[in-house]
Amino acid sequence: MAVYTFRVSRFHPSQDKKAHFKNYKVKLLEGATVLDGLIAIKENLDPTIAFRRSCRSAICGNCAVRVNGKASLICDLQASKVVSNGIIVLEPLSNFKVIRDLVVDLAPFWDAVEKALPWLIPDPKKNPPEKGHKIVPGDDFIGLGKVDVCVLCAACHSDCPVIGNHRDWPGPIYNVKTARFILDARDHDMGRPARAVDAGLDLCTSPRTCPVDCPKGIDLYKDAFQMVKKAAGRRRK
Amino acid sequence: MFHHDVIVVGAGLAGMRAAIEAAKSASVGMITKVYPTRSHSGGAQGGINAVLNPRDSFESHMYDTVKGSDWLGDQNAIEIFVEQAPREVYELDRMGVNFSRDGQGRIGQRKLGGAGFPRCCYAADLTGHRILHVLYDQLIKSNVVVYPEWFVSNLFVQDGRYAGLAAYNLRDGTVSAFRAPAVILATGGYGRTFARTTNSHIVTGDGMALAFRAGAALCDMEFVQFHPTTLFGTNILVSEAVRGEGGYLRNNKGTRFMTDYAPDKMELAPRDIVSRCIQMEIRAGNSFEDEYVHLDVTHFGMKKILERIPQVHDLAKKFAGVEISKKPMPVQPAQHYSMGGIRIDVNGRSNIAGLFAAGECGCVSIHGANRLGGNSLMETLVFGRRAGAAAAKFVRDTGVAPFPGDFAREETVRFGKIIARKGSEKAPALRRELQNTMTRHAGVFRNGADVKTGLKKVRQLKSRFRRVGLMDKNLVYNTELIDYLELGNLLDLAEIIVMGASNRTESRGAHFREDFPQRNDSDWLKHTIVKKSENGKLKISYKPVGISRFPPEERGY
Repeated sequence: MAVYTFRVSRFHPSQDKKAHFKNYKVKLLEGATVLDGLIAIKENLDPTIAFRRSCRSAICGNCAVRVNGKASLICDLQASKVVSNGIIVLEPLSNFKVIRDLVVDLAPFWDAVEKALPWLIPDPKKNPPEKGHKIVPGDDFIGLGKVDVCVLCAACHSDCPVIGNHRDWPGPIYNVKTARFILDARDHDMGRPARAVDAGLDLCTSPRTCPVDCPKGIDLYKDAFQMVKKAAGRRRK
Repeated sequence: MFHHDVIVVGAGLAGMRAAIEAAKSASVGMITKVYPTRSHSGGAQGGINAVLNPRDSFESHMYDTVKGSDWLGDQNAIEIFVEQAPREVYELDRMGVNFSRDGQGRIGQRKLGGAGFPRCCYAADLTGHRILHVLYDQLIKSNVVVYPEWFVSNLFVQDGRYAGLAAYNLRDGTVSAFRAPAVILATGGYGRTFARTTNSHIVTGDGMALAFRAGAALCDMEFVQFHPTTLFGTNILVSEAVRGEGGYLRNNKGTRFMTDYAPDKMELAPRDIVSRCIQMEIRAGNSFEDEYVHLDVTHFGMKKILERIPQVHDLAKKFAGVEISKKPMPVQPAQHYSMGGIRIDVNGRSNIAGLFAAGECGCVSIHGANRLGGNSLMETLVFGRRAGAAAAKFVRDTGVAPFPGDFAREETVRFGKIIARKGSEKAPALRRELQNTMTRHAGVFRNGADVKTGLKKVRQLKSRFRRVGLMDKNLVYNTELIDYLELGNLLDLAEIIVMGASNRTESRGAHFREDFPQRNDSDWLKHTIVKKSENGKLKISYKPVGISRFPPEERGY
């Protein structure tokens, strides 16, 4: 058992002009996650605290908040790994309007997903429906696997430095979704790279030093940005 | 007031598949208490069953499912299920699901428990996640109107006819009425009735409880699936695919104990049987810390682990501190799936006109007394599609029903009273007591005395629930209120589960009574049906099982 101080950002639209921090002390077992800590606070200390959670196994993407300033899923994040001087700071995701406490309005994120037209356009000639798809061995499905682990948690949207300066840029998730279909041997939508350029791909001037840490390990530069950029280059020639 | 032809409640695989289908010919609104991709379908790991290989057969899939169900599954429904399964897989492939492939580039298939043929299609061990996200993409493409983070709190049914519902919008704290001639409930199971469960926090049986209170019949609720392999400590799922790929179960002597119980199928016996075997090993003192056994994949090698079970690799490391290429995982059984649910026919219709259900929330019944791995994802698609089509047709044929104009206002008043109440009881404490009661009294092994005590405890908790007070007095994003409403749902369902378990004096599938260890077909080859009677008490009746091609036989593996 160890004692942690959770410093939690609180905001209620009808009571507060702006967010303020409130400290909670909780005792947690070894291996306990940050989410375990928040649940313990809600059940034992303060039931009014609002946050999202669902699967508690890092697959649903619901619990992303900023931990010590960095967006992260908290259900698979051990408290002992992020504590500093006994304190863990929890804030809502950036680049979103706060609804209450740690809950933000994710509408801009879902809009970005939608803007990427994220559905497969199959080639009707190559793939008769009754037979399914026979993928040629060697087709790059492993690359697809890398971006396909995205859980739409919106951590990338929160920590993207470009979004703050360019409100029209849909955000990194647009590249992730676009890359996912560019990599898919079954997809026949040839307009994706050009649309990504139109959407503002090049607004990102320093993709190599992207500060976003995807909780699912997607490399936003290599697996998404570069993939889209390369495809856009191919199309232009 | 919102108007649609069809309202779908729940945005997991069944809900999305139903909504997409209904929206082909009807105006569809989808109400979900979380954003669609947060749904618990995403937690499914192992795969989805369909007969694709010419050497496999519908007959074989059907027989495996019937035998797995311990003959409580309805065979007419199972026949439809197996025959319509392949086209669902091909459609998913065309929608973009990244299925794992075999050496020739075809959709790969592996063996899961109780299956006579490797017919489980999979996407590594992320099958549910990948299908959920692809269906979400299709949902965006469709013209379904999604109401995310709205919680349905009440259905309106009059004279056996559904007419609309009330839902609470977390974002702004308001309650609104949704008028629609048809509703499809697809809210999943009730896993959180149990302390030990693989299910997400959100799996609280909302649709079943709403339907029950509105007069719908619930079926076979005593049949609760316990998954044999969940991580000790957190009960996070460890996919059956781990055993499907060749993982071994070992006790504290290092012995593969399944040789003693199911010499033929070994680790790939159905889940009810493997769960009981693990529990027996624990009782016999052959476990670790009297709590768990080992699931061993150290003979796989890292390449196979990362290719076939990458998520399990990750979860075991994060939540049990085990590198599975080097050490076995500590596993124990935990609640995983609800075989029972709202009694529906093969088109999703309940006993209330206009009220449909699909997926885990309903009971067709495909799974009978025990579900086979890989059959639930397929059920969501086959019967989601059918419910969506049937609901749209119902609307075309029937039209709207009378709906009270002040339904939302009444619900707002009710909410106001709930949050104003100064109660002596706290909801989290009651929920923990309920969950411990269920795991203790209605778990893998049950007996008459224990189950009766459990029923008494659940009823006491129900009366204490009336004295629960809330601290959060504001309706904007009030998660304490949601927790409270969910607890009310869990309590109603818990009583029905335990009562069914108490009445059924036999052992069949996942329902095992130590005082009645045999299956008893002459008295109990029948479905349990529970309805609410006029005075609010539970009314139990029974209904024959649909048996066509496979008469009951002894179930050995």
